[in-house]
Amino acid sequence: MKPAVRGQAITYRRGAAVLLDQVDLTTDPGEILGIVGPNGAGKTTLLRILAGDLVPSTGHAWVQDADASRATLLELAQLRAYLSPKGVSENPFTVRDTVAMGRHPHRRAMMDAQEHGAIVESAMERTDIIHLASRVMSSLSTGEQQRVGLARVIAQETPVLLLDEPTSALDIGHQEKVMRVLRSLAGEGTAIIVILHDLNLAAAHSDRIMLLNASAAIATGTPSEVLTSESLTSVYRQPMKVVTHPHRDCPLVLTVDSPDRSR
Amino acid sequence: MTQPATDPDLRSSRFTAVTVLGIGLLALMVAGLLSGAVAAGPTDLFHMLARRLGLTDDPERLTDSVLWAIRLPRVLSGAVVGAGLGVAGAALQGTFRNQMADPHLVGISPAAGLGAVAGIALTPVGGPPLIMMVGAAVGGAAVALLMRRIAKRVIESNQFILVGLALGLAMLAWLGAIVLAWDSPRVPTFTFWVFGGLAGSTWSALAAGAPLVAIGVTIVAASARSLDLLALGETEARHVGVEVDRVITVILVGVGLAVGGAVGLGGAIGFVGLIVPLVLRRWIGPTHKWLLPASALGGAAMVVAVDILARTVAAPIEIPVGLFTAILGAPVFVWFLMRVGRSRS
Repeated sequence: MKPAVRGQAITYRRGAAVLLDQVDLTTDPGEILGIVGPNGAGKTTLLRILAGDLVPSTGHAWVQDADASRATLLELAQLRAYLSPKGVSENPFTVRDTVAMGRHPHRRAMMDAQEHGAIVESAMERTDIIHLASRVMSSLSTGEQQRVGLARVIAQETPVLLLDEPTSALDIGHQEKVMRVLRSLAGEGTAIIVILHDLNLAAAHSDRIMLLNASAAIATGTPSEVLTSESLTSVYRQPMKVVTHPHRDCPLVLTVDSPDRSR
Repeated sequence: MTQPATDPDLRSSRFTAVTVLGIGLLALMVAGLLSGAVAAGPTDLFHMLARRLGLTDDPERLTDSVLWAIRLPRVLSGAVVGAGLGVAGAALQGTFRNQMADPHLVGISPAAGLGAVAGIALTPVGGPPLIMMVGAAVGGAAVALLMRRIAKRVIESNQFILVGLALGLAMLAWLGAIVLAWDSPRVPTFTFWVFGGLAGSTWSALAAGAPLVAIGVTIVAASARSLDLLALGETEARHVGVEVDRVITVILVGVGLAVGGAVGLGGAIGFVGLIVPLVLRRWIGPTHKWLLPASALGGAAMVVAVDILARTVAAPIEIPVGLFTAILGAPVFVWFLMRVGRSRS
């Protein structure tokens, strides 16, 4: 199978600082790749390079056959959708109009207004925001705005989704719900790269995980390969213990006290 | 073109708004033609039109020349100025995602004034007003593009407005210094550049200014859908395929042309570009395909109406149009600032 997203030896420098150092990555259609790592590890920089927002200093990023730093914005918009962690608060449009903006890259597709409308409604249903459809964006809570943002990128109907902390403002019920939505999108063949801070969310719902630390990808693999007590303890500078989830077939990450205090 | 499904009541309010504003504008324009020192009634208006169209051989009356040479260009100039300012305001608010943006408050009108005076200086004595108008458009567009650069560095929306205000005040001071020092009958008075005025309206000025405003408004209107998408934020708009930098440059050049034409015709009239889109957005929603034409009609109606007040309230003395728009507009601006402040706290 041809990968949906490919990054080859991506290095990104700003001034003297190296924000990413020789990062390789691939994601296949139907796969969820979780990206985890401490603050400042380079997660968002990597995602923005894959999205075509930033041009890598050296190395390349492809979304399907398109070179992310060369393709036009419209070509990219038909291949990948991107969700940033915070929305815009001053948006005067309604939720439905905002989600419909995700259809913009397909405005010249052979499709009538009703088909576009049906895609918008189904995206709102999936993200549990139908009841907010006529509300003005600026009247919503942060978490509600985040779900609208997810609906918008779903409505964009791209083969690749790039999501930067899509659950950061959500309650635990909606966090799980969003991850189930991502799983069903992956089931339809979408390749999903998602930055998550919650390691257990990443462990439970990713096919593979990439652990970034200090600008480098230090491990990539299945959740149980990457999320180990040793790697997490050293990366996060916080004693961690990884056990097996009692009810799910995935690791469970626990914070623990330093050895000297736990005795 | 994908059109978001909109509520039926919003759709009907759009239709109502455009109809009401259109009819209101026509009525105000007729009222503007018929009010003034020389009494003129509807029959005089028909008489003038009939003579102009060659439908009658009746001898010329005093009202014919007053209506044709003085009031008609004045009323039409008011409508063109208002339409240009209304559309420019809506476009600036959309571009900068800042509902307090207004050509006057962010320094574009004072810049157009400076450009206009530079244009006058470059015009040979007795030359056409077009050079002055183009100077105004160049000045307006230059500062609109400068404000875009400033907006990239300034995140807080109130700070953006304050920078624009300070820039505008500085340019107004330069303008005043130049106008007062030059002291030439070719240059309109300082009052004109600060508070506007339509008393000097002529057909030749209108023939130069109206096309500039029309071109500017057309350029902005062609970007209506992009203005909608900018509400997502610039990065997000880019992610759905909008060439944000190019689109914003085009819009701001359109704004410069519209404001340049408006300032060249009527001087600096503030608050029209602020209030009209602000009120209309609440009435018919933020979709620019409707907001822009409605703002053109609403701005035109507001300036024509205020101009009637300006020349009748203290007749025979004329009060500058911009004084009335400021008296009406400043409290709305203050109310809006307070409301925004409250919702943030």
